[in-house]
Amino acid sequence: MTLPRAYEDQLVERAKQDAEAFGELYDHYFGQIYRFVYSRLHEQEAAEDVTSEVFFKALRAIGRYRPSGHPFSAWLYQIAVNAINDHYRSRRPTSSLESAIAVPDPQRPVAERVADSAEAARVWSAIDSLPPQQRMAMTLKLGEDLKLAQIGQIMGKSEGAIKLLIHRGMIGVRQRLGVVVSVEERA
Amino acid sequence: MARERRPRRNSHNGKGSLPPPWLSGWFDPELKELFEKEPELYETAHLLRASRPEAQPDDQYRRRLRASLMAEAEGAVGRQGPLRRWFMPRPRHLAWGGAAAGVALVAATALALFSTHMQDHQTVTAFSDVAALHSVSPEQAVTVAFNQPMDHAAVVAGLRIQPATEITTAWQGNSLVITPVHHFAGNTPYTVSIAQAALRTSIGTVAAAPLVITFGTAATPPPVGQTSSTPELQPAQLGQAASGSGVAFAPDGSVVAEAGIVGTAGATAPPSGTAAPTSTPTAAQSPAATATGSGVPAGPALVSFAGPGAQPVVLGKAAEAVGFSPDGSRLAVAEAAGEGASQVIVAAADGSNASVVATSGSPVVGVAWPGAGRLVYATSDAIHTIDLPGTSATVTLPSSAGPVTALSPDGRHAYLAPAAGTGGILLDIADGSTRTLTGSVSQVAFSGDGATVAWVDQSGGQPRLLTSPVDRDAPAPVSTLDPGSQLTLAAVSHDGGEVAYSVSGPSQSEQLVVAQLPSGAALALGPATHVAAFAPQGGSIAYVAAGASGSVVELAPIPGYVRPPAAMVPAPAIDALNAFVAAQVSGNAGRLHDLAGSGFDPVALTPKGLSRAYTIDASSSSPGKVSADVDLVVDPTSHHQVTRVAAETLTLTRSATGDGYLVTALDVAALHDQPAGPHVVRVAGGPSASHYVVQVTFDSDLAAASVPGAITVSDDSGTVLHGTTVYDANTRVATVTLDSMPAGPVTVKVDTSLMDVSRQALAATVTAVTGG
Repeated sequence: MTLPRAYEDQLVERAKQDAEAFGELYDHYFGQIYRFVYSRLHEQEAAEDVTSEVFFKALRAIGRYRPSGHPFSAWLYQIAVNAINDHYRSRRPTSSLESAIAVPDPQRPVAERVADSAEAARVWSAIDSLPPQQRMAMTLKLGEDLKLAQIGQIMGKSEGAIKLLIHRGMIGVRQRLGVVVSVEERA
Repeated sequence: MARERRPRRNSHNGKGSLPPPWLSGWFDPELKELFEKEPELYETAHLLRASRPEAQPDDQYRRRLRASLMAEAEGAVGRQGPLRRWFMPRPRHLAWGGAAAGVALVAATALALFSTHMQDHQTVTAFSDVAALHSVSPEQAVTVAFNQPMDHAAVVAGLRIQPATEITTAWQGNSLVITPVHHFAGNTPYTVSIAQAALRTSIGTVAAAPLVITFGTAATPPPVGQTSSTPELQPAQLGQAASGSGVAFAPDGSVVAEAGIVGTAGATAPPSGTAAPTSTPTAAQSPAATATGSGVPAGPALVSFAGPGAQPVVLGKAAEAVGFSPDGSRLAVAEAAGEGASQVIVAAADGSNASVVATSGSPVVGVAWPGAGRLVYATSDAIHTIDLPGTSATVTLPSSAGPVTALSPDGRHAYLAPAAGTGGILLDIADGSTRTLTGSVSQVAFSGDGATVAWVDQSGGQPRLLTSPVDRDAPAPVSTLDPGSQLTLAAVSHDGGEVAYSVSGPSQSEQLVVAQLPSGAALALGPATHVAAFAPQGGSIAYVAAGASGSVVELAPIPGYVRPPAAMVPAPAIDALNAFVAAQVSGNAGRLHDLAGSGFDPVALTPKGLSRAYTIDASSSSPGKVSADVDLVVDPTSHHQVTRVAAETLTLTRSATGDGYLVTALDVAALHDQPAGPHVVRVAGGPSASHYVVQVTFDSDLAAASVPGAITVSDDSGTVLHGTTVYDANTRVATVTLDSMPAGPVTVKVDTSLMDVSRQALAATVTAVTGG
């Protein structure tokens, strides 16, 4: 849920001087940022490390924050995107965080696979095999329910470019998943 | 047969596909607008949204982080920067507790998604894990999962597969599992349909439309081995090599070890001319330092082994990389030049007349020949081209990529490992275009013809082997022995039909597996090795393995390898034909122009949207000229549920330089719906052992009794050639072994008395010319 814009603006201004105001922003956005980071890293410990880094960076940079017309969360997501990228860069290739993703077992019935946590993870992990920009745009849209304009602001791209990334990403995901076919029952 | 999709009953705007009821409750107007004309993408968005991980942070962690932030904000903590896990370490059971909560929530999401679905019986919904895919493994069973109990007998009775395929069916809950008796045919589009009247639920209601699932299979020869009875390779030892030496096959079939070891006795010295490379930009050294004055090196050297017991031949100094020119007449070698530097030497195939064509300040990782007069070599941070005798250029590499680790043998592609994480880059050296290989790190191998790339995907919990054509993004997973074990990729065969990899696990010692692609069916097992090469003509593999007294080079026939009739068409013509057809399928305009002569536009003549192609036959009626018939195929889709085919005739002519073949004439018919019934997908003929053999490959399971009488073979004069016809249901191949050896090409006719297992006849007589 988004804070009323006017209230949020006041809160951010206060947070530049007032620890409790920053605490209130933290209380409001912690869950969103943690979920976003976790959805990219899939490991609790790594998600905690990166989430901590995001809020410390935000705390140290909030004095330079200037409202841009977008919610404060867009700025936090921007920090998170950079922190996630830094985290991946610092990891050795052989210990990829994405190793937590389940590999589908083609021998198991589809229904059983769908009704299983591993299948949910598989569906979501289709995003992880996309190119990085598509992956980020898809995660922010479907994982965080952000507006296209907000995603554009976070990623430094136009709304049109974000649409293109999401469109291509969705096609990529569809190619990586089994496809749903439906028929309607006769009335 | 195309059927317009009807709006769902629960559609609230009647404009198209809405989310299934089990995904209702979420609506994103931006995505709805974005995918207004592509409801299937909107549906995918719903599926993703429902599957997103619902992570639940550890509350203790949340509180500690808040306290630390407040402390820093209030100046109680110094500003040394955020520290990883800066708060008090917590007991491990708390970490596990948090993780468990996260998993439980993920599971709950999926179960709720499905249980809600199960309660809604107004719509019959079916999932299939193969629908709309174009590279399904022929080994894979097709599963159709319904959202409610169905009338099993009615559904199975209404099931049809085109091309006709013998199947078995089984029910697992509400899922119908369709398993082909003889696996699916490779490189084939399939349509699985269940008639509307047969889509009956267990309570008797009937669906309003038929169910149609379209998919295509990956190109693969039929599997012939089973893991449980996979034979061991029976190698012959060729000689010794230094540990880590690479191996390659020379055009004459001998095995070349990059760092072979020969004794001072029993080895042939470097041929004349190898002692002092000429035309050197730098002071050249002898490629073979000698220890005894006999010309035989004391240490590792580039050594050719003609066969078991044959005297090894020293070709030069130990090499970092080797590559033979397309016509087999020349050899490019990269060898160390001291202090980390390398030099690239071009010599005759026997190592003579060597001359240095380039030097490098860092080790060379690969050399390859894009053409007879052009060489490519790569170091970890640069790729260079040389137009012989010496004009060189440097290829621009993507700035974000990591080191170059591999070159394709045809010199057209390079693999650049990722700078970090997974997902390296496949680079088209000519045009600079790139593609990411999903999950790749360092293990990548190209087929000998350069058309296929294989790699180990290390992005998931367990490594996966994937392959793809180099010129399009179509990764196909390959089943491997002991999934989950460590994989090390060793080699891919010349035509991309086989792969060699080693597998090892905690409870299992490392071993080499030779398997078919892309099915992964194991053909043979061998000793632990990470270095191997397939013979270009197929049928055998060379590798370096640990021996009793050091590393040895071994050569082994591949059990179960079915050798096709010897090609009567020159290999360069076949390579050019395959490359041209692959470029047509991938829509690679630049490549098409490169491979075509003047006077016609191959891009304009090629239908758009191709999915695959069958090269039906190829024959050579005069020296330097080859004719071929190809079927260009567009797979069926949900909008056009019938396969479309365009017949194409090509003429290839040897280029004036003798460097290869070009397509000099092209005739393409219009796309049309493929008629029902069996189809001929390949005709090949040539001598095999002491007989002349013709093989006709079909896409359907055939009524075996109809096969012998339907196929006739005649010679140039029209005289029918008698022989024995055997149909192999496992491979869908009819083999005609002729009683006599024809002098030239043969004409093969398959008439309309041929029937498939569904009693459908061949739609029209097929005539093909093969051999030459």
